[in-house]
Amino acid sequence: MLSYLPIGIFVAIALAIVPLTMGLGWLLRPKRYDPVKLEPYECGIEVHDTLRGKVSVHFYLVAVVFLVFDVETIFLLPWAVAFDRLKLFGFVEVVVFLALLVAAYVYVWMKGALRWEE
Amino acid sequence: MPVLNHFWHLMSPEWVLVIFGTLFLVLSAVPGGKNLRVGIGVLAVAGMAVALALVFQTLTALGPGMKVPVLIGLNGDVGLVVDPFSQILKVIFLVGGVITLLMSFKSLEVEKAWTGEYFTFITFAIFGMMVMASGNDLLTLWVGLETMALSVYVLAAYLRRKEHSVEGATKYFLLGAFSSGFYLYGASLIYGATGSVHLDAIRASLLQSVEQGGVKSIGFPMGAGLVIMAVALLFKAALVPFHWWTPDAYEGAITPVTAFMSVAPKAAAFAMAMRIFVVGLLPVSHLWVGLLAIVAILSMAWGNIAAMLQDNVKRMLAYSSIAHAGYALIGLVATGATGTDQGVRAVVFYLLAYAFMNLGAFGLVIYLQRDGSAGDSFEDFDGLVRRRPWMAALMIVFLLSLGGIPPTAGFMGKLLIFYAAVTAKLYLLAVVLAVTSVIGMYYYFRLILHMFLKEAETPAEVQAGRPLAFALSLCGLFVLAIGLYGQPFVDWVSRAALVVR
Amino acid sequence: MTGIWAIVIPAFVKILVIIAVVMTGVAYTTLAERKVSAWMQDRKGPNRAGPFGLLQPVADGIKFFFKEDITPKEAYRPIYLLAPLLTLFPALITFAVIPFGTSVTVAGQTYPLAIAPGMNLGIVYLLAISSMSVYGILLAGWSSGSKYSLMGALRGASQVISYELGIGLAVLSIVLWTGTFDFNAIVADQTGGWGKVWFFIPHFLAFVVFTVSIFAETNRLPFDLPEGESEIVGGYHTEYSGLRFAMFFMGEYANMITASAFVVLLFFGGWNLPFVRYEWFGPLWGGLLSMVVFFSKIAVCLFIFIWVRWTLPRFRYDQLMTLGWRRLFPLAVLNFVLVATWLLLRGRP
Repeated sequence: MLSYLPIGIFVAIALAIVPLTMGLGWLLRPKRYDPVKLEPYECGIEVHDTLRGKVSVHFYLVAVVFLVFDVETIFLLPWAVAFDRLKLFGFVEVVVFLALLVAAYVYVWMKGALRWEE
Repeated sequence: MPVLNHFWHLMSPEWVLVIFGTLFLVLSAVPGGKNLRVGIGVLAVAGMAVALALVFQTLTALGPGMKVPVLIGLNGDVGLVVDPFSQILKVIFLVGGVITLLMSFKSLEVEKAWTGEYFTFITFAIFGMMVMASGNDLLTLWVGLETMALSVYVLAAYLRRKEHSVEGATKYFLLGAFSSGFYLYGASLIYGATGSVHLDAIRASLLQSVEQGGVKSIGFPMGAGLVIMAVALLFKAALVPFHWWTPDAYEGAITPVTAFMSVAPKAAAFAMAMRIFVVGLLPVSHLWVGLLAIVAILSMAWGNIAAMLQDNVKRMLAYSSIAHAGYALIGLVATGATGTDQGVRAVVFYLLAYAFMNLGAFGLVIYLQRDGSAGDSFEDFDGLVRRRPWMAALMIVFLLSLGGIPPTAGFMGKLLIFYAAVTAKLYLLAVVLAVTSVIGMYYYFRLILHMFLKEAETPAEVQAGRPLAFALSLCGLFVLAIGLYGQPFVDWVSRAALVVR
Repeated sequence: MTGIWAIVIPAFVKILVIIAVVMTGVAYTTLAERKVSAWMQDRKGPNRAGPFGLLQPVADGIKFFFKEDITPKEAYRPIYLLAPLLTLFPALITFAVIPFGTSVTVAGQTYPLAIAPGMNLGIVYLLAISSMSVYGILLAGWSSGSKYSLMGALRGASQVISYELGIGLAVLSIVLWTGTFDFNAIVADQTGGWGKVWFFIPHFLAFVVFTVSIFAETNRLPFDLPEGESEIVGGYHTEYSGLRFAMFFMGEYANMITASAFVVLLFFGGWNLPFVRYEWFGPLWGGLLSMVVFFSKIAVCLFIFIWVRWTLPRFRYDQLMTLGWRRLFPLAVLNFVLVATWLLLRGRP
């Protein structure tokens, strides 16, 4: 476990740097607020329309599909390290696993979830 | 070295389903008209028939009391087993699946909701159930459970343009996801208490502690884990007080899916519960017998009482399915009390009988389904005896069977459960079973009265179509066959054995 | 100096050195970006602050401290204030597992040139931490309460996660080939023996997928859609000013350095050079030289980042997603299957 200790120290230092910098900045910077400054930026024109509008469902689909294939990659990592010991059995298992995922990928592709051009 | 040992061919039904399911998934993305979707449906029936044949083949290859480890882990722990118990339950799932598919054709036609995904999800759901029947460790069982549950969530929301459907499915999904979490939490506590997720190792560990320190030595984590895990399983089997999702999800789903949900996932949940409680946790049966007995009483009582108050046939059958799960649970309690397989066999037999009669009853609802109506109000059944005598006769058979009146399958099932309860000296449960069955008659007869005495004002034109007619005849045939000449079925089911000596 | 202090004190020193080096690196990468851009466009670039503009980053840094910190009124304050930190923090701590040389021997003590030398899960750690950066993007854009920010954040998040698959699968084939998550072992596999070559030759497909993907991961041209300034102003950090903006800026450049280090370690032999052995130079100078070589390789990579920026135009969003999902992903899977098959037939080298 001790080999992980430096990472803990690094995390602590990285966490400390941020408040230190921000604190220093707080001491140095001017604070002249004005309601106009706090308007959302819209290239100088008056803000119009609400922000919380509808967003393309494609983003959601990409997230879901990503989840599936990212988990796939995570599952494959330990297998890749133990490849020598698992040999043919492991290889076949992974080929089956990949075949199922490729079927899912083909399905997603053919359903158009990966198409963005309208 | 993990190996699928040389018995891997015993998993051939599962392989078949996975291959077919994957094929359907890809096919369902292919652009094409209705014909392609119908083709997928026919292919699904064929695939399940093949799987069914393979299950029968493996079942005959297994000697009595044989338990073949199929998937063995790195340290020799068994992940999947094939034994007569698992194979008989697989028969129930597959038969339920085939009948559901046959019934689906009409519903999908009426709703104009043909997709390939429908068949994909039914196939994968059944694959998950088969893993639930065969799993021998808590995690493998969980994987099966999730494979089934995720598929069924989608199926429950299949009519996604209808509010009812989405509402019921959302409730089912949220509560189901929650109960999966419960299962894992309970499993982790049991793992902590016994040091293993493998049922055989859990049993060995529990036996050892009971022998060394007596019953008192079983600590709190074990008890808590057991109760929490039981909650999840009872939820999946829709037993009181974990049944709240049932009526809404059943009413909202497209009717063949309702039929499917009330039969196959319930049977799978029972299979999993029996595997865990009897193989793994029998040494601590004192912890769960009382608990399950209370749940059984509540389910029988509340299921039957609430069913009386419904004015929708699907909701009524939903509550009746809760009551029936309560009846079946008595068998598991009996096994816990006596430590013999008699209770387990009674449950398996009951699940088999219940599959045919409940699918049949829902099949009649599908028969009455038409454009714009699900055919699930009592009025839809008005005067059915005069309009369609054969269909009415079938419905009467199914309802009598659900009520437990001879000579039907339901009677035989209840008889075996009753017998198991009496043998185990669970007289209270036996009495409740008898009394609530009488209460149950009320609402089944109410529907029969509608068919006989009421006259439909504007009789709707309904068509059965060949697959549905065939499925209904099959159900009726088996309900009567089991009821009239039950001995071969009882013998067949009595090959199932779970108790390890 | 015994026990735990023998770990803590060298680690502390190394961490401070690395933070200093990386921060300086970030600062001068921004200068290099402007200088190189200027050369490529036949301009002079910044040349007022110090000789050749060498003090420009210092001036920029000081200026950031004196800028006002604005929270727009539509913003969701807690997350708005937190998001820049979520960008900078992972960018910094990824360096914990990156070895930047062999080892140096000072006063009889040998110090490996890595912050956590005993950590043998470097690749897993790096993948895990670097994928945290998407939180910064998404939360910043969502909490700003501005249309440009939200648009940039959505694009950014889906772009980053899409290309993470390419990275994951490319790394997977290297892990498969070497059988380890340890960077030191992977570097050792690329040099110092017969048939051991830098992995960009045998794993060319993985190299291509990986390189393209890290351009998208770091939001660099030609994949800088999350902050394409001609379309959506600054993307997810449109609303930020002063130090908080600086944190996004530093985080992005730090990510570029990490990505370069990742490429160098996986595909270009880490700190090694062909036909050169650091033992020749003695335990101290050899170690320092290896460090110099490593950082030089990173500098070359950074130069390529800038070079590409002025060579390729920005992709359209649908082209970006098509490239990621329908070209690179199948390619990465194919490459992975090929590597696995090869290993099955021939065994690990």
